[in-house]
Amino acid sequence: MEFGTIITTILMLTVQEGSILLFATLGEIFTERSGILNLGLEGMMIIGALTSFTIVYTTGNYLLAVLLAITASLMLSLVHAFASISLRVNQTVSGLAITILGLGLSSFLGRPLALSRARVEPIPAIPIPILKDIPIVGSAFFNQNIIVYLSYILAFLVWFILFKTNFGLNVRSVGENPSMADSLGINVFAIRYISTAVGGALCGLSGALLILGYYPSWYDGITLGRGWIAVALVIFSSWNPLYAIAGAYFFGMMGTLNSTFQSIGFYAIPADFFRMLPYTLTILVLTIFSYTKSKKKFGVPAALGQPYSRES
Amino acid sequence: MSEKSSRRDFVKLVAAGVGGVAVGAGIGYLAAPKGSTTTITSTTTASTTVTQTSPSTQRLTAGFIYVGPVGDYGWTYAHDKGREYAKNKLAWLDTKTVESVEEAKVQGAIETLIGQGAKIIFTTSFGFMDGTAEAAAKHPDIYFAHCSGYKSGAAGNATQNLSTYFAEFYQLYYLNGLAAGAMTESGVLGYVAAVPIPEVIRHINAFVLGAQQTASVRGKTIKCYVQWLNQWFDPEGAKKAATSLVENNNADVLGFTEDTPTVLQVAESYQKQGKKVWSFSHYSDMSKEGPNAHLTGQVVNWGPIYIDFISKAYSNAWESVDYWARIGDFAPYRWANLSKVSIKSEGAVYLAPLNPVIPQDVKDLIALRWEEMKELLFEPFTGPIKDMDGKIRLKEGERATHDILWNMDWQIEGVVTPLP
Amino acid sequence: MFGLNRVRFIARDKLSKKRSVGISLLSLLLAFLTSGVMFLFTNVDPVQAYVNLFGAFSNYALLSEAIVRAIPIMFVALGLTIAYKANFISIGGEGQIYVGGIIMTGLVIWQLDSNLIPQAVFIPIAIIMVFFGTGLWGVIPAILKAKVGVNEVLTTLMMNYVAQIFSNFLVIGPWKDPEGHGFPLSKEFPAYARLGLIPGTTINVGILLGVFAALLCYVILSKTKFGFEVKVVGGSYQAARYAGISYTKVVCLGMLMSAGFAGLAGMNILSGVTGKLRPDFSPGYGYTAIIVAWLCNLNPIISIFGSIFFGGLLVGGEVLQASMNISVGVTNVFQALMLIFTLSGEFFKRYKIVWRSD
Repeated sequence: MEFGTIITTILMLTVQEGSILLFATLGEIFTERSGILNLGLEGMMIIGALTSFTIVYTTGNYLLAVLLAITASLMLSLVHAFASISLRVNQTVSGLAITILGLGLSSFLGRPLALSRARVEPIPAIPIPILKDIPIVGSAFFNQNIIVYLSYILAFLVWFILFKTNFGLNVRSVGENPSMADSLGINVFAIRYISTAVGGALCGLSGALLILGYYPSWYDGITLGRGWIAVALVIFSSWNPLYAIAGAYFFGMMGTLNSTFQSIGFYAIPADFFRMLPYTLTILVLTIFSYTKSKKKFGVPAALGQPYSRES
Repeated sequence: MSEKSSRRDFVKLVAAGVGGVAVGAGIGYLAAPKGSTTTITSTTTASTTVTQTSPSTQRLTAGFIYVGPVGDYGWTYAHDKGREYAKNKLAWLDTKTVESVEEAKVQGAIETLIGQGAKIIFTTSFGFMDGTAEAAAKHPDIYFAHCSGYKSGAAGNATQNLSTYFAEFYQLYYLNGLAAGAMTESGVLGYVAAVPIPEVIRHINAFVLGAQQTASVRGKTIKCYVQWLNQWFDPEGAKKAATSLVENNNADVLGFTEDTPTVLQVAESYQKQGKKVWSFSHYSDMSKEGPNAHLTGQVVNWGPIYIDFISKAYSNAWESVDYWARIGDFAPYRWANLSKVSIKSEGAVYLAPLNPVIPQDVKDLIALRWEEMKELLFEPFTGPIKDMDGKIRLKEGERATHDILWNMDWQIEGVVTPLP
Repeated sequence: MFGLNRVRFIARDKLSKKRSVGISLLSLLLAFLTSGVMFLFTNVDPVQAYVNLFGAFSNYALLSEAIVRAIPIMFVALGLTIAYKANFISIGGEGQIYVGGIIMTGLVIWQLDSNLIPQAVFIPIAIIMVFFGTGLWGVIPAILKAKVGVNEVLTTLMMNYVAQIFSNFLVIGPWKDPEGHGFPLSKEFPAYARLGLIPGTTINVGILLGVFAALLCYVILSKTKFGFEVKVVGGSYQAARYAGISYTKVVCLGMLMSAGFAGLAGMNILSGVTGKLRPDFSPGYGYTAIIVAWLCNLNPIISIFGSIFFGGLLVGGEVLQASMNISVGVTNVFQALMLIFTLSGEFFKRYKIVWRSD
């Protein structure tokens, strides 16, 4: 058992787990930057997962599966968008309702698949020549499937859109001060709808990756709380897509340490403390950034969770 | 544009919408085939294979309480298959199931099933034990059978309408081990284990024992690394554990006690990448999940046990028992054909189909040991056996007794990972 | 939708009680109809499904089971009611259940070793310790919000995970019963640490405690000065400041009570039902309670009945499974639909639609 192999295994598992989290986190960063809090990630993710599984199982068409998974989650997010933006209801409760709806629907609709022991072929990994031979990190990062490679690009894309384009500027200003944005002629409602939809779409992609990449059979509740972890991740990466990469991999790694520690016979620190670590650190990060409110660029979007209406 | 009229219009709009949906639902309801998906009604089903000349045309309803989802592909799935088996053979039987019942909620599920007419109830998890015993005491006219527990009328610590049943796998794990020892190249076994209870510890020990037999013939020593999940159903943890065992510990045969085929799937994905990693079936035939990686495995058919309980309940021949099903139990015939390679019988526990790549002499050894264990001529846990600290647990020629097996809390020499 | 120009929403000045109730009932009706349509689409007889879903209310044994499940939901819902009245959106009920369970188990284990507490008063002392112990846990997000402005939805959510993971760690590790054959369960609670059953029923005495707590909650919220302060804070932060009410004090005291009640839910599950600590002993009651508190309009007395209704739904889900082979997920869908329609209904309570007919 060499040190190098251990690190590579940890990294490989981390990248797999982290990529799933990364998509949902990037989507939610986009949504929350516009001021909408969407706690429905878990429900949207599992609907995306079920959709992708069903489509591949019945048609064998992977591309269609991914596209429909994105669409299904997107539609679910629009329900939340309508409730939060047009009806201005309490976003926390609305998001929670979406999660429960998604979980319940997927359990209900997915039951025949579970009973019939359906399974699909996972997407193969595509090793990138030369890059994959880099010692230690090569096979961890460059021997993954195509959706994972997409995640590498997407994080930078989201960062670019949010911070280097006019559209991104609009999104952020809507999230910081909607009434000012409104008076400058920015369509607050449209921006928020779009951001929520983007969040939903990326969440669906998370679900599709989960199933098509790693768990080729359908289990009830297969997302296992990843949607909630993504909510935490958004805070942990202080609403910055680039930090989200590090955050997603960090959270992903915490989940793999248990098996690694057992492999190498290291029992000193219970694995559970590492599982708790991401959440406690998130609270810490949240506290610190609320304390230093001046750092607007890296802090909570000021209008997060508050419904906007012209009369107020 | 008076506000009053526009509000009235709005109300009309909403009322129309509601009315529309109501009408639609009503039409739908009338049009929908009633009870089409329900499998459980009290109409008589056409009798299937065996025609039973039972004196009465009375029907019996059996209730099944599962700890997990039927779709787990493992423990609960096997129980459900057993239920189906019984249902297909007994024309007068109706069955009802409740899945994913929390262990503390078993009494509620039992009441639900009794309310649905169940006269015999199976509770399929150790954690249901206390709830089942209490319900049995409360309902002396209903029969109860609890899986993997130790409270029953037969054992003297519960009422007479409660029996227990269990399928023992360690013998099959020994046979798995024989195959493992023959196929391993690195000499390292990996084991993904659920909860550190004697049952699982027995499995691991038997697996390693078997592997040591066939590996020593090839001049290899066996080492076994164990990863504990602390849960029965954990596909995520199992995947990571299996991957760690292969990558970090160089294991090339993976045994497991976990409720899903995840470990086998991991082995299969390694095979696809050209690396020879082997694994097994658990509870049900999982060979399709890993056609290349699958060596053999332990399969349970709860069906004959369920038929036994249900028939006795139906014909008022019930008595409280404590079944500990092992190789050969509940089989309709005693002598298998030794030259047959696939050891499948209609018993409660049997081996999954053997992979053709296993050398013929090992297959013969497996067949031989199968017969010997069936007749209780061979006991895998026969001394000299030392535990991982070097202490002698079974002396030369000493056979493990029921108590030693039932309370096993030590790992044999060759297992590297200490118990948590 | 983006800014409809034919329809305008105008805030209502006041809403008659009748109309308010009417809107709520309409929301529930729509939820029923929508799930009914969903059943139809999946070839399930909706009438039969509903009969089974509400089967808990037709059968004494099942109704008892429904009430047993309702008790922890009720406790948490009461706690959340206090928090929500102060506009402190805590979703930490689930974690508080675990903290309550941890405190109770710790107390029992300590007692089994030291035997210092007289058995007769064990339960009352446990109640006090669980209440205040969990209360302290609940004050943390309150202080963070009051002093540093940290969003309480996010902190309470994170703390849920910490509590649950820690509870599981304890039961798999240090608090595992050494005579338990390796199963991840704590030692069984002795009889004096258990909440007994009401004679003649299968319901544990926690229900009496729960009803008492509901009445207490009602009195606190509507009859005391603190309750008034809670309402003011919940209405507007500015108004509270002008009135000289300390936001910090209200929120911290409020969360102390909120978490305290939720902790009692955890104690109830362990002492009243399972009799020992086990992994993941709360099946999401903390989240169900959020829905209950909302749907019961933040009224403690109505929450009693709302909790029983939801307990009945949970039992009904099992009846549905046993009788029609429908996945238990359908109760979640139903709950979610009720919530969504009720939330939308809230909108129509606040705004009326005015059509521009030009």
